[in-house]
Amino acid sequence: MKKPLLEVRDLVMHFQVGSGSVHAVDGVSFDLQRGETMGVVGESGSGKTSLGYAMLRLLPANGRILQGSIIFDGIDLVPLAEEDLRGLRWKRFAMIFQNAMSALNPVFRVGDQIVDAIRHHTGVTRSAARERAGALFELVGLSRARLRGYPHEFSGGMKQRAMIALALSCGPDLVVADEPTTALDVVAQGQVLRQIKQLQQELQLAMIFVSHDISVVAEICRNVAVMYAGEFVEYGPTEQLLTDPRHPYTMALLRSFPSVRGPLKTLLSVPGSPPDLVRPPSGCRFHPRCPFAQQICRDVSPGPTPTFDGGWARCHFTNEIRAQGRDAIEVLEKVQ
Amino acid sequence: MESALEVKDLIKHYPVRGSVFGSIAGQRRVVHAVDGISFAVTPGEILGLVGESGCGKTTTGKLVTRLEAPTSGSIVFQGRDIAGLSQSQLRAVRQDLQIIFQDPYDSLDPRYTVEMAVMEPLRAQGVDAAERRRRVEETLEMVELRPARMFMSRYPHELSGGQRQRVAIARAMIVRPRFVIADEPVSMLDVSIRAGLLTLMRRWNQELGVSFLFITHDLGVARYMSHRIVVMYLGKIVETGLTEAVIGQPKHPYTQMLIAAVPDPDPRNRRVEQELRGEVASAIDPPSGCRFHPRCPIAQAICTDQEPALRVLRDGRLAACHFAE
Repeated sequence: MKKPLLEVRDLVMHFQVGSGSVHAVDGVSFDLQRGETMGVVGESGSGKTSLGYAMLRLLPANGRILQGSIIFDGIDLVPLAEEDLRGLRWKRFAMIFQNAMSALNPVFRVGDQIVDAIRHHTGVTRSAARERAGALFELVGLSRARLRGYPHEFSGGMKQRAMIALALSCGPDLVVADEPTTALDVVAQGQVLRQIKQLQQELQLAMIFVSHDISVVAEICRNVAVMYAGEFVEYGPTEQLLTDPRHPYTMALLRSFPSVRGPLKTLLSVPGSPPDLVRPPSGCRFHPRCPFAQQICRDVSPGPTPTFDGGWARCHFTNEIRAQGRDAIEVLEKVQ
Repeated sequence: MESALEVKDLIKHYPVRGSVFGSIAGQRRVVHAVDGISFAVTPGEILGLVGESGCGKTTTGKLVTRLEAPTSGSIVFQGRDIAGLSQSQLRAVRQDLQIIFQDPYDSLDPRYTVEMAVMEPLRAQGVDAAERRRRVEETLEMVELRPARMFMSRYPHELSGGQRQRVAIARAMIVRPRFVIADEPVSMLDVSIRAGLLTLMRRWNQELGVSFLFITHDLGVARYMSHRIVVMYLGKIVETGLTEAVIGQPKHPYTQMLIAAVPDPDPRNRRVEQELRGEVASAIDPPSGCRFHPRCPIAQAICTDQEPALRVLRDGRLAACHFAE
């Protein structure tokens, strides 16, 4: 296997708040290959957005990486000085934010903002930067003429494409996208997802795609990590993980999704609410909401149990639940 | 059978603000938010109203509850046209016509305890204090905020998003309305807790026969909740019929595009790649003829010239397309 572009090991990132520290990312490890897209799916407060930002060392003032390493192409980003990071951001790794509407300055032409960004990071001439911006616009499915437009003349989907163009402007190897299609309507979302798929093929771009929506992640990611209460609880190849989930939380998440296709299924919800990450539950963090929980789940944090093709699930009973087959779903149904 | 709600030729135009030149020239530019829609909800039915942002679904909800006054058209509720009623005349209707909003963070007053918030609609009815308290407890049990007594003294900030939305539902339920308008009631909530609230509303419908106008952009949620579906595009109804027919075999090219765009986590239900063309046009200058024609893969000359009527197709559903069969 080739050396991964990104190796994250045992990453711990906490926020200081009034009542203590929020365990936003707690012991996350994974590899990302060049050209690979990995999805990070989780609900609000799972730590998925914090993880995305931590990858680029974009931490809020009260956030600190306490432990672990983020090896990007052989360089550990964790101990790196801010000025060295500045040389890498945008050029080697970039970010697409959720809210494209507010990321663009409303009083400047969209094209000028991209041209400025390209010149700032690469030092090329204005005309070269303009040529590049035009090519990027075409790459993301916008006409060159749109470079002269102002943000208010762009629809939500067009703004999000412009943001993708901006993220790609300095030819990064890695892009972290935080809910890039969440603010869009379903048709515009479909258009942007298709664009991202094309870019994956054309640019050999590695991507971390953070989303609350498991159906969006399913469309474009080779591997998926399911995040709950600051931890990855399951990881694996998208197809297998979604057809044969091995962690009770992943199972429940899939059974709570209302599909427009296939037979109409009864939707299940996960009982209870996500935990307070200032005082996360002991043992397995999902145990207070898990229909399969036993004493060991309260006492011992489960390690990763291998599932398929490099995948794993952090659950003491993943094999037993699987052996029960259909019963697992029935247990979930009984809880309702 | 008499409808629980019947809307006819409903129109809502908003003047475009700040168009000084337009008003000097004597032309009033308007946003065609809702442009002549008709539908009925039968007693005990859940009617799903779906479409993308700007299609007019939320405006329709506001008109039906008379939070806004329509430009023209009628809204017959319990045999009475409420389109032209004054706010004081509406008070008598409001008890039977409740609304649940999208944002559980906005719709509850932070200074009110759960008990005060849920009890408030009863106060206006002159129910005595002991009975009010009993009804609050009973309703909180129904929305599964248990034990009710513990929740009664809590404030909104002490509740999770899902619990707040349950309080909002309890507030609507306590007056025992016959009709509820729910505008994106689960959109702000995490997926894992949505199902609980949807199930709660379905039970409310099944056990007490309450009719719903269920407004959502989420076609999966609409499919799960509704008996029938109305699809809107740029202020018009483009298709309506039984849920499984509209979702399973959409006939209007817009409905087809909309459903084809919905992603699915199950690889066996992966969507078929279909061209997703263009963007929603402006509601200030809607396209001539069929409003969907600039994006439609099967559009012909007639679609630019003539607006298609909403007509009955072979299986009984309605679609506004010259070529739908």
